[in-house]
Amino acid sequence: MVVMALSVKELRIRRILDLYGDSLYRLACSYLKNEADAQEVVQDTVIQLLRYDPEFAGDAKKEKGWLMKTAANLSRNRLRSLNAHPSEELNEAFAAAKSSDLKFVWEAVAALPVKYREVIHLYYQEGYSTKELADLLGRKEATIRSDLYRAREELKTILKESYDFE
Amino acid sequence: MNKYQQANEQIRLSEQQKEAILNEIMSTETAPAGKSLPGFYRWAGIFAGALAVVLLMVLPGRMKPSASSNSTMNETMAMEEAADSETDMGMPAESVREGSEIAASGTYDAKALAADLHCSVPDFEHYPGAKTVEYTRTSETTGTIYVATEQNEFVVLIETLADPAAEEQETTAAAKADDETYEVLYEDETVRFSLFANNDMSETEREELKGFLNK
Repeated sequence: MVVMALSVKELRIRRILDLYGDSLYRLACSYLKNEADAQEVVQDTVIQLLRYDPEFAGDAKKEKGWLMKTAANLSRNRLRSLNAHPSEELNEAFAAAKSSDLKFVWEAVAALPVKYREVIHLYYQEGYSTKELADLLGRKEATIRSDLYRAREELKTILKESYDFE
Repeated sequence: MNKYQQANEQIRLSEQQKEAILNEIMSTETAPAGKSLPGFYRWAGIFAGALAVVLLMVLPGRMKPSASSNSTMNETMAMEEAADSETDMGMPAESVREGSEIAASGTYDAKALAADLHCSVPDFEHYPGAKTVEYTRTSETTGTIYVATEQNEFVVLIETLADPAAEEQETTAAAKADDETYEVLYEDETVRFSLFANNDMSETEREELKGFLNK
């Protein structure tokens, strides 16, 4: 029998990817709409975690919060640099590559401005409360609530205009 | 599960992607930042060590140069040359104080840099989440502050504006006008703080930094 010796670092990375990989990847995709960029954000997020080695005292919620906040920051930075240097790849609609009956929901959210898109994603996908979102995004809770309200209003308009929903 | 979650169901990291990420991270240096000495302190240590060796060598009547002491001298000179050419952060040589000053004062802090540049320099030791702070003087009228927090790192450029060395300031300003890598965050009649654009800062953190500089 071949026994593979895994290093502590490798085990730690695998654990992070198994536990939070999909959440981080979806968050990055919601910002970047591009799989390759999103994958790099996940990678950079894990690197930041290993490099700064923050203390979570076994609190998984804290750990996930830290990772999500870092991934959001890295995604915004990448988005800024992509906006400054637009690439063909970014213009391809990421959602179009995904075949799903509910693709239009993803596309409608993806059409929102970044500050609305991030609150919608973290609220509806990850289930964070407005208080948690305020902490994660560094905004006041009242601002998060009004952003959520405006995001929903804008989503209604997009769905009505683009998909003929009433 | 709501409709948005259902729509996102298909967006998952595949096993191949996980392996690619794993391999990439395994080949990347990820030693915790707090567990190794930051570059500036490392160089300060080298300078202090080199200075101690030089002092021992030149003190009159202490010892005659020998083959082994020549070799020590050569190593010392090599170290000094290396430090002269570039610091760990890729800053120009003048960003590092003379060895004797470092031996006397350790390294720059906000107060020392403010005194040398004749302007106010915020104490980033109190910046929220700051883990590593390095103050560097880059010329008679300029300096930099490197700050690493848990989630980011950035460099703030300091330019004194009330200094008599106006010519140099104009040159710096002209160079900066052509250089989009700096963003002015705070400016008054005596000093200008700019953010080096190559950083991992969100809008929120940028605002937080602006607020900190405006205090």
